[in-house]
Amino acid sequence: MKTASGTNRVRLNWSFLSPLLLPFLALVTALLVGALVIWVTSGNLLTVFDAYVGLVRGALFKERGLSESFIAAVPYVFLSLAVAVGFKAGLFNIGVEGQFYIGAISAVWMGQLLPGLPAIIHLPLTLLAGAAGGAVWAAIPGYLKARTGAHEVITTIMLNYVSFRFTELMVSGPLKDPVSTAVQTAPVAHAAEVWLFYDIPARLQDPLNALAVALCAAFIGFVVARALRRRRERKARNAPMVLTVGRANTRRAPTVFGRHSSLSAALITGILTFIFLPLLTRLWWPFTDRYDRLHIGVLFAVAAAIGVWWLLWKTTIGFELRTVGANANAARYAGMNITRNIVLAMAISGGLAGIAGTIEVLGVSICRCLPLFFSSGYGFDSIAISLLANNNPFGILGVSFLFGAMRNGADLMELSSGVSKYIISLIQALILLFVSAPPIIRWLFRIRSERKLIDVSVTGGWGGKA
Amino acid sequence: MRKLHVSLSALVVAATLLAACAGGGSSGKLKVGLVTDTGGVNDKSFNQSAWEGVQKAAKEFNFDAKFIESKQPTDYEKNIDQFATEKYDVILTVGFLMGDATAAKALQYPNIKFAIIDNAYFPTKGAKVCDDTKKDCYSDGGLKNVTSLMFQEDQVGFLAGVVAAGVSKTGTVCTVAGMEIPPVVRYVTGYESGAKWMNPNAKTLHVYIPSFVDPTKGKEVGNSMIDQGCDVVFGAGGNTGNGGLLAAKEKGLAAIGVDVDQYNTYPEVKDALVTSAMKNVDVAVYEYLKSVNSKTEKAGIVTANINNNGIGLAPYHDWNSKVSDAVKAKVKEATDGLIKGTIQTGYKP
Repeated sequence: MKTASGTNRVRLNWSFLSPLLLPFLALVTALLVGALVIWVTSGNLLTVFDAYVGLVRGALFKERGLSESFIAAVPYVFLSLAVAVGFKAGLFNIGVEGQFYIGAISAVWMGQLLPGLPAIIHLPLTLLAGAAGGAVWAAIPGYLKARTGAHEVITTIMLNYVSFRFTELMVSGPLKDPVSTAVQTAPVAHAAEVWLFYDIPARLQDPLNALAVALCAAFIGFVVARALRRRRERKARNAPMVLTVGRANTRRAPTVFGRHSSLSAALITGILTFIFLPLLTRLWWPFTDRYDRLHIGVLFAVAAAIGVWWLLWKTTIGFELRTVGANANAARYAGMNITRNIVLAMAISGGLAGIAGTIEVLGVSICRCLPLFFSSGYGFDSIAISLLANNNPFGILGVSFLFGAMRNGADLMELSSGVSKYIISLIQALILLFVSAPPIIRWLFRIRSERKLIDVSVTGGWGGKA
Repeated sequence: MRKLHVSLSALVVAATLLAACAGGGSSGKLKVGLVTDTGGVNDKSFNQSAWEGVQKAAKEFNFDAKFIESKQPTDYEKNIDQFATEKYDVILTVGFLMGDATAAKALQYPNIKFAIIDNAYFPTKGAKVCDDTKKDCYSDGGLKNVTSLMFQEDQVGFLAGVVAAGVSKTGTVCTVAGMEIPPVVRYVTGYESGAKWMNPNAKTLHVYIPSFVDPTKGKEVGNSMIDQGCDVVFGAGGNTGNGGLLAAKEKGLAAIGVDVDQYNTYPEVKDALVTSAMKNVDVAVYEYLKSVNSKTEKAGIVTANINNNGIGLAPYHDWNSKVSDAVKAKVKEATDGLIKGTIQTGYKP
């Protein structure tokens, strides 16, 4: 710290990590304070060790522990992305919990409708239904806000209760499973379920399912190839001016398929996947534990994070949303339609929340149905996650996993040490406190503030306008 | 920065050490785990009662007992698994709603003993666990390690109904019921039959509320039934039912508690509380663990009923003087009738 050269070296080598430093220190500090609390309340230093060992073991190392952490992280990712999209557009969508329920009930409805459809149609349709349910539900407060100025915090909270009661009504009324003695909906069709990793080899034996996976692979191939080509083109464009004058169009590096390289990449990836993946998974598949609940919703979550990042930072729609969020007056002056953007932001937000509910029903719920009492509390944690991650989609992936792992590990912590699992909420609250009040951490770890390790402007989105 | 590095390294070292001493030996005691439903272990009702039974047995037979509270229905499997992977010998699950998860895990871990409260796997009614062609879900369906601890709520509901009709001035008695699942339906059916047996002209009202944790709604429903003339409110729905009790108390009317002696667990309404329709979950759990201890436990359904004192009315407490001897005599008569089988509660599974 004293020697300028030492500091410089560190800053250069680790500069890409510097935005993570403050959240990391916040986490460490929160764990230390948590340890202190455990120590004081239990009067035994060993309990602290037992508790944290139990936490880590439960979250990562015990049988199916890691899977369960991922499973808990999936709804967090979707709901936090939902909150983040809202924040970016200057809206505080506190109603994700309600949209989660509406998504779940819409998905169950669609999942039972049209039995006999193949998964390639039914699963996307069901996800779409869940997303649409959440989107429509969230668009209502968006429209009210844009047209009448009704604050979305109030309206979304109120709609939460409406959606809880509505779900209860549907589950105990029209959608109730007539066969079961339990109050729950009938299970969704097998084809509408979110696949378990364990099930994938069996599912891929159906050529239509293999086709669905191949289409996804082709899409990924297309996106990657296009990104690579864009990058090459950018590099070429940045080459010395002398070479590019008047010939910019031919400056692309030559590829095998020339102009259609992305499409061919997609085609090749797709065909290879279609032919070989079912075979390969049959021969070797790492997920052999049939009691492992890990489902492909994890992949959807990663895709959703990338999608939201792309939408917000790489498209005109995203630019408009962010502009409206940053300064609605400026956006209006620039000719952007405020009403449309607010409703759109809420709809996207609600759609993401709806997918979270959908995946819980289609992939986690033991009956693959919606039981009454589907309380979760995921929605409110997600607001904290979104703030912690500074509304960054990739940050959300990390923080969601952290929260999911803590939620999952907490039970073993309680079992092995007797420390109440609600200590986790304390630790999470402390992390949030330290991240949102960086001077505490800077002071604790003697980090100079002018280095601007992280730009914490989490409240900028909804403080600017009301 | 250097200071930071030192502290970080120290942290890494500490973490490694922690991981190293993670594996602990077991003490050889029988390990008993209890998974509560979303009500939690302090629900003043059957989760709490079950945990008391576990604690009593643990003390007496020197078991190692722990509980896990479930936050949401999707946690049931995970929480049972938590105990199973930690090599627990006996796992108890509380509540009808945990039926599917318990069955799935019991099939996965055939060497662990399971007991579930309030859920019988037979007759099945199309449940996924074992289909209707099976003669007995436990021996045929593979649940050879599961004991269902059941209660004849309809019998104690019947007695509560007798008391209710006995103390009612308007002749109308009502139930603020929870979710419409078999144990709750048994309470309600028994209560209404009991009231009709006591007073053939009695009017009965009930509303099922699809939640066990919504006292606000319970109170609302209670008030609306009171407006319809009901003056004895039976709260049969966990915390939701408690709302009904509160409504009766605030109107100065009578109330009847459920599951445990609510005079003790919910003293705020003790003025209104005539009695409680108790199912002795703690006793059932204790008896089960006692049989585990002596290695005599059996798979299948164990029913607690009026014959084995597994259910019963709580003491009248403050109402002792207000309940007339005639009513008490009728309760005695009904009890005898139920034991002999000369009185039917009207509940058909």
